[in-house]
Amino acid sequence: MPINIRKVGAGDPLSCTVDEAPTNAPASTETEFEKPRGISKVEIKTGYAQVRVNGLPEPLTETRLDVLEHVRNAQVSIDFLKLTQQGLSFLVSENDAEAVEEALSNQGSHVQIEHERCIVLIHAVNMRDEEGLVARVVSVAIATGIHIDHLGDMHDRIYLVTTSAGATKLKSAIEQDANGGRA
Amino acid sequence: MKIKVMKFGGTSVASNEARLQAAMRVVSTREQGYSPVVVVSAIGRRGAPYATDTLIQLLHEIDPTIKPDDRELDLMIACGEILSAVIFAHTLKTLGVQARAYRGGQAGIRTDGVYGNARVVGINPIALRRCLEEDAIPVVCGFQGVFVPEKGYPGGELTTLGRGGSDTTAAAVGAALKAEAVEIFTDVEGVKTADPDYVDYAPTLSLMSYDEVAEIAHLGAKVLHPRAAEIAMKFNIPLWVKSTFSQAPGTQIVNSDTASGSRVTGVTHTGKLVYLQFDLEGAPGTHATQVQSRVYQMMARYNLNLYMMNLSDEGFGFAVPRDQYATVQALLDGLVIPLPGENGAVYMIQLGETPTLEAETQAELLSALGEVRTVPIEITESCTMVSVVGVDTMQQPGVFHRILTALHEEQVPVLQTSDSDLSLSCLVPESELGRAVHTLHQTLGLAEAR
Repeated sequence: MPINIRKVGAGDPLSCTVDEAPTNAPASTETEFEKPRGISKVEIKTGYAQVRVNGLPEPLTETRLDVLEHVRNAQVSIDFLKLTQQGLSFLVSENDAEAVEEALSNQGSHVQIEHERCIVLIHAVNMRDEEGLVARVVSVAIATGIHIDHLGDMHDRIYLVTTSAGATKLKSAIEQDANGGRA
Repeated sequence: MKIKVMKFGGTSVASNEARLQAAMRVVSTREQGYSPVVVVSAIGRRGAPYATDTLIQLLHEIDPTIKPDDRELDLMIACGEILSAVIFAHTLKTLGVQARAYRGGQAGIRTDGVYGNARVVGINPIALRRCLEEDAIPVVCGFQGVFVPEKGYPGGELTTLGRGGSDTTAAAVGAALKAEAVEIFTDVEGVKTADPDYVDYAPTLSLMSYDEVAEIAHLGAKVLHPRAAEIAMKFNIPLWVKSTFSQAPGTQIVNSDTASGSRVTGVTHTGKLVYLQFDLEGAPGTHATQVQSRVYQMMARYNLNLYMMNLSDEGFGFAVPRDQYATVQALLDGLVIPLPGENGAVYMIQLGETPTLEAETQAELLSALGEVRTVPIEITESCTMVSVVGVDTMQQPGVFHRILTALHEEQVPVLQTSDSDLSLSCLVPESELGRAVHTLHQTLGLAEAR
């Protein structure tokens, strides 16, 4: 089952000529509007490090805030924060990884930093309202067997964090599925 | 010809008085030298005699156990806008101006073929142009279009555009006619920094970018639909959100070059969600991956929508809409996931800490095959997302700390987060929503109107 519910383009029944449209106006008066459903773009962003902080002591909410305070004091900007069962996980620019490592060195918790991580960004407009689309993309990604370090979603994108080699394969698998199995 | 598209929502056409005020605005715009094109929603909101929900109810009343076909449902609910457009056009005539009502198809709006949630794929505005050339005002039914399934198909199939469809119609018609502006008239004075139901002093934003309004709308602000903002952005049409019932200037929405600068835009909320956190602690990595894979496959197969996904060494989680939770329960509770192979195992999913009778029986029967590993899911029902939207804000060091600290100090538990360049969303218990919105609005200093 392809991810794209419907694509509009040459040869698609939806891209009918004006003769088939309700009015018999010249083609030049037609304007294309909304973005087609499904995945519009898959891109890879490089230069990130993933920070995982595990084994934080209770009260967990407060100890998570301590971690974030240390990162703030180091003047480091973070992305894609996720709360985990024993701590938290987020991304920083690879250039800031050392500063984060230093800032968290006295935390007494287990800090793990994965370097040279890439983000695979899968764009699809209003994807949370497209039934099953988010789950489909993730299931395709997991089925590749590539280790995914981190993942998340917003209303118009999913991100998957992995190694550089993994990112290329993930991108290819997701694009292939979006194209109905065609490479 | 200077064209201005004016869209009036349900409350703006809910009564004769309201409709007359709306019509007077159209006449006034015409007198200012513009050629107005009107787009209308159905009359009134939930419970009103011709509102969309009332029309749907007419079908459900026949037999609530049988779901109406999406195609028939679209034909039914489109009647609300047709009535509204005809009545509005006639109201304009009583004010001495010529006006003509148009269904979506007559206005040349073509969509894809997804009933109930169609997308506009093209507009041929020839009928609207001719109407304007004849010095009449076109009144277009919002929320609807036609789908032409195949060559020679007569008339096309009526489709509706889904939530916020009339805003989308207005923006699309504005783009097709190269309008000078699209004005969305509603019952509030513009885009607010928060839902006035929770922050009654929330000020109206005077200027914002298309990106900002699309983000704020995607994340719950109901004043304008994000699809309308996206169309306006694509065609660079100035968009306004104004009140039908006041002379307040409203909110102007423009491109990001015009509305530049770092700022927090507002606090929004959306969704009735159930959060599921799967506990895979102790499962070998390959097993954890296979369990995740099966669960996501199931979610995809049954067209379930996921929010706030996360993944760690100890497990994974996501939220689902509350109206899909019954399906999720039926799918997952007691679900057996056999992992074949030399290092195989049998996993069984269990909703909640205590197994249901079904899950307990399932585990007992499976024990004959060897060890069954249980994957408990922690369920948090009645959650919602509260989000902060801002420009060049989410990248600033300490923003996550500031937001999460503010919520913690007000004892609002945060179950999960999700973020992008323009926003940070927190999943919180629905019971804490009011406090969460109010706290963030105050912490971020949004009381001062821009």
